Amino acid sequence: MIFFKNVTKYYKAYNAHPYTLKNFLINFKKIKEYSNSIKEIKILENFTLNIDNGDIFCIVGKNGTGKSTIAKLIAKTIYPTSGKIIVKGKVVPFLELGVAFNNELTGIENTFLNGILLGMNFNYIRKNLFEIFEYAEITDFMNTPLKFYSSGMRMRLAFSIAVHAKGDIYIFDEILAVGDEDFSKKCIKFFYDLINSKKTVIFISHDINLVKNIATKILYLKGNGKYELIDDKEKIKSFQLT
Amino acid sequence: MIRNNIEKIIVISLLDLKLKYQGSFFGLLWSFMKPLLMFIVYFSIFGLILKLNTGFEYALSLFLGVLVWNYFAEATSLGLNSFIGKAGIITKLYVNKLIFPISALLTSFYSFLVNLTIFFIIYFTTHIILNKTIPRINVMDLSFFFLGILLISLLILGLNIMLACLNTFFRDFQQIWELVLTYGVFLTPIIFPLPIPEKYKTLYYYINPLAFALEAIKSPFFDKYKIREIYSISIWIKEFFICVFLIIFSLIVYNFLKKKIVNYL
Repeated sequence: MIFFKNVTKYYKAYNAHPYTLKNFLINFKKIKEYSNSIKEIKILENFTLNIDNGDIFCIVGKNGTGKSTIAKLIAKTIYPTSGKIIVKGKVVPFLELGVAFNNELTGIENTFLNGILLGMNFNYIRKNLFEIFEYAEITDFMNTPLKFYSSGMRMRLAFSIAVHAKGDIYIFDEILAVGDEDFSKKCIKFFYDLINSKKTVIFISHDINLVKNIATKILYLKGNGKYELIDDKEKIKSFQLT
Repeated sequence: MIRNNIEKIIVISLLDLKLKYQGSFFGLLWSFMKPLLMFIVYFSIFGLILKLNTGFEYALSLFLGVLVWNYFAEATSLGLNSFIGKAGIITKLYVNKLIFPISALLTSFYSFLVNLTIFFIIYFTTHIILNKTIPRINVMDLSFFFLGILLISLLILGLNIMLACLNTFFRDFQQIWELVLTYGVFLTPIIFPLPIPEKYKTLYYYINPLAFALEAIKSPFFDKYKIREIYSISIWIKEFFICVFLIIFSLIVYNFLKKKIVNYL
């Protein structure tokens, strides 16, 4: 369950961060003034939202209206300017995969590092190690340093690790279909399996037809903090970008 | 949740240790070679050329001092960069950010343990060869040794959290800390006992807990250099209080800044 209460998120339109120790000490008083004078970009304002378990929550809207910001707020990598966000359940973000990958480490070591950062526990990874590599179709390269992996292999491993992180809430920025044709099919199948198994899915997409098919709720972001929430079945069917 | 964080800390610290010596010919041996080479420089300058102090007792105590100092310097330098260096993870995944300064401490602690083992081997073999006896170690003094290591680790933990936060906002701390470490070698009784008047001695130990920890770590092995302050319980309590206070203070700073850290990485 995800609950947003009166959430406001502003970004500051920095040209560059003005903070150096020298600057800070000399202009101690002015820093606040300066910091207040920077133009703020409104992404969300007084935003209240409720996502239930099993919802397929789709976010649509133009670039720069805050789709990813909402995803990041749910993943808790950024904090709201004001307001409260409650997230109950383990979040597995499919936003960027393999963020902790290190080229010098072997496939197994990277699996442990990424898996544990995604919230799996050590024993679980150890037991499922072979399965993870099998799913990624790279069982021959378990002990190969990551720098010798092809980019497709890297993506497949990253995807497979995230797949094995048993979560309650999944966040997708478009359906991540990585690798060759067969593997892409696997990715898409995984996505639909999630939807069928009643997991909570946050799905950001530009594909309106797909959204209309699967969504139980649609959030349409219009920029400058304006939004429209559609949670009626009939309205979702007739939904159109205006 | 706590168990998972402990697992994260252990995995990250072990892999960081591996990464540190990845691809180098001597590997983990470097963690011993570096203090050894530093020791050779200090000993040849201050012991052999300036004749400050010679003899194998001095050499061994200098060596132990360098090992402890190396642990401190390495751990804090890693801790200083623990947020910036892991920016990729912190900005993309939700993790408790405190695991990074803590794993920086652990990474250095592993190599410190290896170094201590080597020190023990050297210590006992030199004593057996030169004195033909196995040196006796007082059990109470040995407890000072462990307390000293605990004290220095707490100090590093507090500093790591504080430095990691500050360095995120002001990259100047990279330069500042380098200077502190350069001066620190001479402000801590590693190479020679500092000429501090008797009445300011305790004050000095409060200002520089590292100096006190170092004396405590040395005490079971070198009767000659033992200080009487380590027998005072009140000083021990205050030293621990200072380090714990530093940790609490840096946690307050961290809690105050933690929401902003991502924006500055």
